[in-house]
Amino acid sequence: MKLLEVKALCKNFGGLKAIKDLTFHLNGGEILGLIGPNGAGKSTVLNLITNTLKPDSGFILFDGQDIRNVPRHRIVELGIARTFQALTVFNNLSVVDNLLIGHASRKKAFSLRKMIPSFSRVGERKGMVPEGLIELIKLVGIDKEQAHVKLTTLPVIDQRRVAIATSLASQPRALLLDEPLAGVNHYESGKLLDLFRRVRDMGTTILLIDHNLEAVFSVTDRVLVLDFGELIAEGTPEEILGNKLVSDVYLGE
Amino acid sequence: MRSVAKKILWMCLMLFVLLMPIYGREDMVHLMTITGIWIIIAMGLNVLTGYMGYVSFGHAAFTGLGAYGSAILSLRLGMDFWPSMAIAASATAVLGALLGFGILRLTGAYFSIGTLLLGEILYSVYYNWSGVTGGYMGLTSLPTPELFLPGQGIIPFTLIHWFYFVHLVVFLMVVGIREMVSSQFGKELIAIRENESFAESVGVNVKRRKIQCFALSAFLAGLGGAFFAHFLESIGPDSFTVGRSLEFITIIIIGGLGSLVGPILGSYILILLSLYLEVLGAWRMVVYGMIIIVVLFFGRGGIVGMMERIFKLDLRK
Repeated sequence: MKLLEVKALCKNFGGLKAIKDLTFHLNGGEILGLIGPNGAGKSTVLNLITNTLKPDSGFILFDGQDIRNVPRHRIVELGIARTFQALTVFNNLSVVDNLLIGHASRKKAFSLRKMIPSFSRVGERKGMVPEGLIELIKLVGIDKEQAHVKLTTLPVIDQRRVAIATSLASQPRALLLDEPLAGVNHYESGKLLDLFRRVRDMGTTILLIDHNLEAVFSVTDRVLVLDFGELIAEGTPEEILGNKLVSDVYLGE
Repeated sequence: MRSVAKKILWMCLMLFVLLMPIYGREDMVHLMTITGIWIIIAMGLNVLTGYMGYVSFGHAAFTGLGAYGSAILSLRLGMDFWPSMAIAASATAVLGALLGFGILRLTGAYFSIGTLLLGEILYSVYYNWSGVTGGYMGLTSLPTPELFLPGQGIIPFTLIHWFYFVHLVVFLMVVGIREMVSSQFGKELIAIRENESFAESVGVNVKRRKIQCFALSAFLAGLGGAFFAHFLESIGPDSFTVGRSLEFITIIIIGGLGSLVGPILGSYILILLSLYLEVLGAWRMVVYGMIIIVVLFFGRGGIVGMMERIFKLDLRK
């Protein structure tokens, strides 16, 4: 089943053709890797899907629905969550509060409730945390004793975990991860990869962008290779590893 | 220990408010009532500027909307204080939402400049639309609120009544805003302050929240304005200048942006300062400006920030 479909997508920045006629799809339940050298347009693809950037032409269909003009916050409600390349969290909020921001956009949330501001206390103490958020904190590997501490007091690796948990808190059907392993050591990235597998097994489809090819190949079902905004290869990790064009792009002739 | 110190601070403030009219001179009670009204407006501004991070330089204009609205309703239509105050404050909120629809498309300094212009525009309306606002003469002989006391029947507010009434509203606002900060709505406002674009990409309906926050802030400004008008029984355009807006900004910056007790402490300090700086006339704006600069440079977080650092308290909530 094609969960997300991108068709003939083009995006120019002035004279620079950032994305050229890109077509790919994301199957429900898979982990799809997106690799390519710096400047290949990987993050631009995520920005186009989440309507942070408007495409010049082409289609983006999520579950059969055209989402090109859907406001960014609505896209989260539809079930697409993302993380950012640069570590982005709400520094002055606690772990639970960060998750609560995402949690409000989960599909089951009653829509009228979101229109009328909710003034009841939430997430302040143990008993006030909505069901599932503590499990989510534990799932990403943070001690639940730290659920109520401010993010500034946590180590960067835990802040990264909170960023992933925040996107998962909206209970997305598709999770777009933009270089989640950048600057993470070998041991920690192994744990994050385990986390991605578990998230996938729990029913969330993942699009993973990263420069750590070994890690990408170890976790993905399929891999796309982007170079100068063009899709130059597509296939299983084994196929991509054997692809002459890909090694040329990455290693030079 | 920390929460004990926090409780002591609030107890002291409440004790001060409760005992002040009993032991204080009448002119001090009068001044403290005005301070209470300023606290209401400053706390409203703090919701917008402190929690959501949008600095408004035109808040006095919204105060003016509440003041003129209530004054006109009671003078022209002969309304009592209670309905005219409620209608004027609500109308201010609605107008705030409508204006917010446009002005909140701006962010950062551009938003502040927008509100500055809005403040100037509304001020010139108050000053020049003589037929409705009374022009530079303003409006006078506004009705005093009436109160039903068992045993005494319906009696008009005296100074003491005003004092306790205004501080009751302050108390309710403290409780209400404390709840708001801990609620989903409050957290989303803080998320917008922290990183608006990120808040949007994790699913916060940023536009809607911003307008709701702006309307809430305008409502409280309008409420304070209506109290101000009926307490002084007369209003003029010079109470709602951009200079007055800057005083509200000064209050919340001195007190501590985005804290509960900040606007209260800031108002007390500014009122005390203004007593001593009366002789300087318009020059006192220079002093305010210097205070803002000093606080921004050396006293991060205002008085609340300093108290947090010295006593290791968390006064955000």
